[in-house]
Amino acid sequence: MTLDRAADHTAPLPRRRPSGEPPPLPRPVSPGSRLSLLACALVALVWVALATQVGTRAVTAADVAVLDALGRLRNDTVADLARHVADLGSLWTFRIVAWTTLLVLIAVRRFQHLLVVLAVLLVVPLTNELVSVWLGRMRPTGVTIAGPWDGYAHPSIPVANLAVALTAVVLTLAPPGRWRRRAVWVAVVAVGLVAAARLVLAVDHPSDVAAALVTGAAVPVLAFRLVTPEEAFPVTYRRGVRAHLDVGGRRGEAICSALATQAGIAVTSVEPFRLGSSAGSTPLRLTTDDGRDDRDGDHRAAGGPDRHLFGKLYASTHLWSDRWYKLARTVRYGRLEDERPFNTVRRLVQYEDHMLRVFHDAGLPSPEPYGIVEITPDREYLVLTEFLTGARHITECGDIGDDVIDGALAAVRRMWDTGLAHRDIKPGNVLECDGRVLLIDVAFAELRPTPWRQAVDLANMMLTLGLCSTPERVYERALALFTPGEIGEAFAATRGVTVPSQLRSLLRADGRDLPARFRALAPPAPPVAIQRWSLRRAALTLSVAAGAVLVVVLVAVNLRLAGLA
Amino acid sequence: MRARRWPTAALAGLVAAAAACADAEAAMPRCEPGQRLGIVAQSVPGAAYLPCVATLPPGWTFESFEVDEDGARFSLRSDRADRAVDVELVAGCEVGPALPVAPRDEGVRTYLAVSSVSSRYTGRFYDVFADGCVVYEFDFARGPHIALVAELQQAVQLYPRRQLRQELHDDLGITLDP
Repeated sequence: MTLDRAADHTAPLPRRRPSGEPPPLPRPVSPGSRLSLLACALVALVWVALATQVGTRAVTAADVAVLDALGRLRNDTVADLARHVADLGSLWTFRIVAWTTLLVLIAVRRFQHLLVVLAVLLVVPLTNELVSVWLGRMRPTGVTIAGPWDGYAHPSIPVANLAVALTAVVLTLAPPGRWRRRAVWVAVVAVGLVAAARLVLAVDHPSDVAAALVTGAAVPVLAFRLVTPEEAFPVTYRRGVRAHLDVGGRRGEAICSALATQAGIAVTSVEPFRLGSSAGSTPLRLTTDDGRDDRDGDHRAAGGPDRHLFGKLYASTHLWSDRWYKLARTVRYGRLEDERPFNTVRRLVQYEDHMLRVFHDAGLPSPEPYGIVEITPDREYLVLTEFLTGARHITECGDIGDDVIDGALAAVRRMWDTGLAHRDIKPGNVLECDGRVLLIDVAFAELRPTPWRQAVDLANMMLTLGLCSTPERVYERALALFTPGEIGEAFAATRGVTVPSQLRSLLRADGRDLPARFRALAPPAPPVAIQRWSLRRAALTLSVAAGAVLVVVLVAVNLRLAGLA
Repeated sequence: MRARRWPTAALAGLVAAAAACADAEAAMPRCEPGQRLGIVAQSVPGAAYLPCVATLPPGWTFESFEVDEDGARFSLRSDRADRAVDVELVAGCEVGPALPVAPRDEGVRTYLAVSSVSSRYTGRFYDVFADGCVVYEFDFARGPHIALVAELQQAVQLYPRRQLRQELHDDLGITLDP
């Protein structure tokens, strides 16, 4: 089964992207980001100027000129009103807005945003505090200060605190579109009023307020843009797995364009497919051009050409999940197997594509790989395979026949014989199509795995089959391919962490205690320990614990310094 | 991703650690012309003198500094004292039964109010001058208290407002009013 492009003259031809040509979905540097960077550079210049006598003279002269003009607008009524408005910039406003944001992010389980908000809420006020002590600037002179103040003048801490808290709200709680536009306006008006009030009262210099606006708004904008870009970490309140990316709009167009230029495939639609069965990527069904049928898939539905491809979209957000998942496993269970996290999305997709090819070459029933398509260099890639039209999850097939049971067990036997382990055998990854069994999602697969892991694959497959049949029947069919001792070893190695969560929950719902029934059928075998203690694991566990304590202490100490406690 | 996230985390950690360990002495109002003393002057408009730290005697550290429209406060601690000395500039003070002692500067009346001499040497000094007053609150263990009081008076001096006004104008073009 191959992609026969030469036979189809209407298909686009793959071409190399010339140097300098943007990728299909370039990482945009928005005008807002450029403006923020420019503003940060200007503020850095002002700080350098304020650290010198000449610079202080120049900046102060300009500030006093503006304050003089504003002072002429001030009367008792305006001053009273300004004092009330300036109260909006109190430490309590900052605390309430900041803590509410943090609590909401915890409630909606958006932890990447939570970490960035926490970092920004600590770093910006603390940096401002350090700068204010370093510069030690006086309050405005030559004008009457008509409001309360405390501490050094530059940058204006109340304005910066309010700006950073409201920017965090806008960028992490307000979904893009109408709600975010409204939130931006509310934030701009609130911060603008407080800044104007403080200038009217001559509590701050204009340059103090300007620097505060930059550190309070531009710095968080850059931080969120850099660490949690909207494309990878969307602000949404829809239920579902957060790893799933929106494939409409620019990304959808970019996927079509990338498939045409890199794989020579004309795609007419890109749609999410069975999102519920994938937590670590965005599975897609890609519909190819009507005039094109270059896949003679073995598994296509009877009576019609196969017009679909299957794609798994990976983005940087999946590296985060991969890293924490593997770290947690290593700490909880030791290095049962290779727990090295991937450093880049590119390596992650390269690994999956490689394993797809290994499975295919080994004659295992798995989808044919069609390669990788680059959407955004180093950030987003699409792993492309054939689409298994008509395939269903094995648990959706009702009572399965012996041929399906034999096919599934034969796949495990074949993996054993070729030195492979799937490592994620569960109902969602075992498909049935026209009586054939297919294994999908080989992202966790491993070459030359431990005997323990191979045994676990067998147990998980038998448990999966047991959900659609009886344990006695599955055990009986398994005896044709495995010895009783091997089956006994498989169930001796199976417990807790070794059973994928989807299979675990289905077993709970089934209520038959299938593991116990399989154990009763198989000859007894001594339990296989899943805890692996080593110097490395002990050191890693201690490091993680020490790091966590350090972070908690630093955060606790700095919450007070930053004014959050 | 690692390349992007770790620098951010490292920056956050560094700033947090730097702030947590920030040297309080950076904020110390030294007896030299500059805006750090200028903001002390702004906290009590018109005060003829401003408290400042000339030199910290060996074993003394500067602990904290606060300034607002009601005055300026800072504290110093000696390694031979278990409690810090609080120094506060305010617009005026009630010296009560405090006894006058040798004035510390021209135009200054200095008072001492000792509240305990038995187990500890506890009390207040007052430097009273036109439109302002500096209060020194101390609580030393008996024994080293004589040396500590002398060191405190050597560390904290009074800076004339008139001199600061001239220097700020000449150096930075800042007009300190009044």
